[in-house]
Amino acid sequence: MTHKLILQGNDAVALGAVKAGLRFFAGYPITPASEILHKLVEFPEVKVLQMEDEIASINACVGASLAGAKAMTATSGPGFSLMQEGIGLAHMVEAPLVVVNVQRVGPSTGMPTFGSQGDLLQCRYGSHGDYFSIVFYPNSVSELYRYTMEAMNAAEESLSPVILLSDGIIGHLSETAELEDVTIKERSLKPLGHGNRHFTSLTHTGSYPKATAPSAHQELIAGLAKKTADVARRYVRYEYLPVKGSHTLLIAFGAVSRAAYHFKDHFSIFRPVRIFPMIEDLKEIARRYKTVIVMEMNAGQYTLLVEALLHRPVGFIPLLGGAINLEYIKERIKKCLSGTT
Amino acid sequence: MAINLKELSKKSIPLSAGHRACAGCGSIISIKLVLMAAEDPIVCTCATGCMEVVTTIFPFTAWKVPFIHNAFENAAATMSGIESAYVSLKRQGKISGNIKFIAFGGDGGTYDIGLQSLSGAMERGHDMLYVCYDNEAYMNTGIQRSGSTPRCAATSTSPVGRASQGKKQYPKDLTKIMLAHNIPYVAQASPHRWLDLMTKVRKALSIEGPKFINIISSCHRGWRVPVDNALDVCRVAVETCYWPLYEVENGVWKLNYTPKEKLPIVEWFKDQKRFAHLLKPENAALLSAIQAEVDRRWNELLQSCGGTKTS
Repeated sequence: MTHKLILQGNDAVALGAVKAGLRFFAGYPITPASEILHKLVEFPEVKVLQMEDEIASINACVGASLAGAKAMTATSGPGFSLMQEGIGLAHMVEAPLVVVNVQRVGPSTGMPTFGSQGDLLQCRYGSHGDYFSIVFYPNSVSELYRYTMEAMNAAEESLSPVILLSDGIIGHLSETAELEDVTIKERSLKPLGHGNRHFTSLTHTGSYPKATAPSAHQELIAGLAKKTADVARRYVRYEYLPVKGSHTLLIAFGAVSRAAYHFKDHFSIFRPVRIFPMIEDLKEIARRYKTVIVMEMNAGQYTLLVEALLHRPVGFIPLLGGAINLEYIKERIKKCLSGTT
Repeated sequence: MAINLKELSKKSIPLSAGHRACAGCGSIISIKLVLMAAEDPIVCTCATGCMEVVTTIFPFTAWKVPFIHNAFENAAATMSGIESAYVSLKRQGKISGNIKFIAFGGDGGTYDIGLQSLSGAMERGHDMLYVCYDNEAYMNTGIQRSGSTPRCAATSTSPVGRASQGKKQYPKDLTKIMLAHNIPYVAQASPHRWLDLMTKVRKALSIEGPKFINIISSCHRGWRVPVDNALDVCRVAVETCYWPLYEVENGVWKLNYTPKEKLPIVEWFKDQKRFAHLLKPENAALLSAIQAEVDRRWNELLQSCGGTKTS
């Protein structure tokens, strides 16, 4: 069923989570993500805990998840940094949960009320060791609703923490939203209390810690990589808007992609929604274009990874400090095309 | 040592006018009183929170003393580093004179996320004063409950409605937690008794080692009181013995103020809209439970202060 209403992005995340069967939420106030916490308090079917900080929030989610509840937390950059160890733990003990990160300008306290895309590499590499989070980054209120559900589904299917990226712009944006439901996935694993199960953050084989066996660790990491890659294949989510005769492909996501739409009559646009693992189709798509340009609100995080994926130089438009200016973008596209950057 | 008005009138206020605190903010009054009580040069840190936000809006700063805003959870840790560097520089003869160190945090940055770093700094024994301006919720991010929020207070995350009557828990007694660190000086104060507050700050700064002062600081946005009520609502908190004024110096407890007539807690609640639901007849049981807890804590304090005269 689909219905339309005017909704704020952060509220849409809360509604999507409830629809997907959220039973536990632990969070800590932070701008611009607090509305998700505020909204979820209204639902008696969700146990909402306001924790003493973000470290406690993520770890409470790990506990609730292992006990069988669909769990989620929501934060912004500074809190996401504090959660990194817990995200690694959730991968290690295979606890499905969703971490929502409504990005703001960093580092540190930065610009709390301004949107940013500065946490992309932190999503991918923020915790220590090797792990492979599935990450979605929608660009509208409707999509925030849908991809919160998809993120929860992907978490349950992969038994791993899935990250839903948002930003201060779409998180605080109120617009007409179409709420379209997706099929909800349930967990295959029985919760704690069923049989004798031993969870450990140490390297392990099955339930048994093997913290001094290199081969056990190699198997573990290979297993995590395969498991998340297998599930990610069910979530190949991207938007590709080709323009006949265009030799240029603009890559953008989240709030910035909405600015990119302004150029859709002149340049082709590729918008990854599942931003990690990166969309493999991009390799084939990019071959059709002379120039590939990534525009993002950071100093070149995704650009770096697109270059690595495509094995070729990629143009880059930095949008720093919360500002998205169309004239500036036009100038930068021109410069990219004339090869002066 | 003693504070007098003549001396204060000659002193420039180390926090400039024109900051962005709300009209009728209790916290900014508390901060000013603390700063004005200092005699030596001071260095301040401030955790993320209302006071950091309103005093440092780009491109301005209200601070006329060296000031560092760090992250939310670590004002005391950053001050530990500053104080250690100062001790080292002094030992090397590279810096002279007495400098005092004051760390500020709201209740969120002190009772909750900053408690670990505060506890560590106190245990290591740094020569610093930590001041908590306690406005009893996360007022900067939209009035969410904190470890200091009173039981039954309505906040964004402890709403009032059919299923919930505000915050379910009593606040933790942070002042006593700090006392358990066995540091030389711990006190509770209120800005409506400005002389008591400033005397405590001056005394704390004269003592070597870690010190902690907890100051109740009203917030009309969160407490839902009239804008001109900043100090009176603090006064009633003290008159109802919800927020007793006391100090513990080297293990000796001293009650600084005993109300002539201890007011019932409902007197404090009735002017604050965050407690409006408690005045309904169906919530009488909650009200009396809270009164019993206030009485229990007050009597426990009286016992601890036994044998010392009130001043």
